[in-house]
Amino acid sequence: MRVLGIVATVVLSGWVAPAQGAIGIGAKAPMAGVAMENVDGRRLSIADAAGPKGTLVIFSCNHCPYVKAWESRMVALATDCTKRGIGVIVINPNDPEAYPEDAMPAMQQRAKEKGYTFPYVVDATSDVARAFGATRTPEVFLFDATGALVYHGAIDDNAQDEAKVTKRYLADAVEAVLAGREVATKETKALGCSIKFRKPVS
Amino acid sequence: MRLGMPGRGFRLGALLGLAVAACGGCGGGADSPPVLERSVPPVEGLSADALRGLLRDGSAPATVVNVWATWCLPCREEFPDLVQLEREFRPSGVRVVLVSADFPDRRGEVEAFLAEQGVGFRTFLKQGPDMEFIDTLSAQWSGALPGTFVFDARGALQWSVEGKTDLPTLRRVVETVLAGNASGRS
Repeated sequence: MRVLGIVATVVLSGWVAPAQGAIGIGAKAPMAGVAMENVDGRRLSIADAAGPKGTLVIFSCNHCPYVKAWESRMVALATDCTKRGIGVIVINPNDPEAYPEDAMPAMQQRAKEKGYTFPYVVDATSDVARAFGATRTPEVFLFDATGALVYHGAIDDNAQDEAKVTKRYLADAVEAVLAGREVATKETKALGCSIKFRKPVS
Repeated sequence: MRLGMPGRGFRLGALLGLAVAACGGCGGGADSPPVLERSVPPVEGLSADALRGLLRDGSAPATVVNVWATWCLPCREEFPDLVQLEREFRPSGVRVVLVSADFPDRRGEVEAFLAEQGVGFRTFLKQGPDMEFIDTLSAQWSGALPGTFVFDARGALQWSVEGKTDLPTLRRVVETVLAGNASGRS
């Protein structure tokens, strides 16, 4: 639970402090050196997946209807990125105890079925997602060639119906990065499945 | 206020009737619970514009908005608490606005779940762009489900949470908002 805001005198003792939120534009990828198990059995970090022109980090999973709705667009765009010098890593931070559909065997099957051409790894402690301040799936973070965050948010503005998309946020950000331009829309939001974080190891 | 897209009602009685028929000879008689004819009001479409209108219409001393989805586990877990909250605070005029974020093709599942939960008041299905809807509720909300937001009589946000909440917390927040209204706090 993340209490977002308490206004005026509603404040009562014992409230959970608000979370810090996601990393800001310009930030470097946190925990970039942490190796995570990929669907092909290798262990890969965000740094391993980084491309010469940038890095796309996507927090995702199997079970979420929003992921499923966006998935074909996500795969096409991510594949395009890898061909054009932007490295891609898709990270599943969900606790499979809550959603068995998010366990590794199902991830392997999904990556095969949907033709993932990029790593799909497990954030086995959910700590990478915590460090990013990610809250939902899918949630994307695009870093430029210098490793600075230039876009954070949604893939586009209509999960359900690709034909009704009017703003291709991530595609536009990718083109800007590849052209060396400033990304026009740097942060967006969309409804998504809340990440089911594993309990912190104390 | 535009509420658009009237939905179909869902009658739990039909389902319960089927269950009783399927049960056949599994007991019954005078001790059997009666088959309830509970109908769920049609689920109405709700755009960000309509939501703004609803929050500012001044008709409730407090409005609790919960955004949920049928496939969202924490949403389903906290749902009975929201239904109970509505029951407890209905006499005070508090309004509980349940907004499903399911895609429109899952309206049947939404209505079935509402019937299962015994929801007898009007509920909604989110319409229109996500970002505008999210920011209408709270600029601090990332859009992760569930989200719960408590507004005062003037439609000003007083408290919000991303993730599962519970009845004692909501009771406390709503009571505090009602007390704030009564004391004329601005």
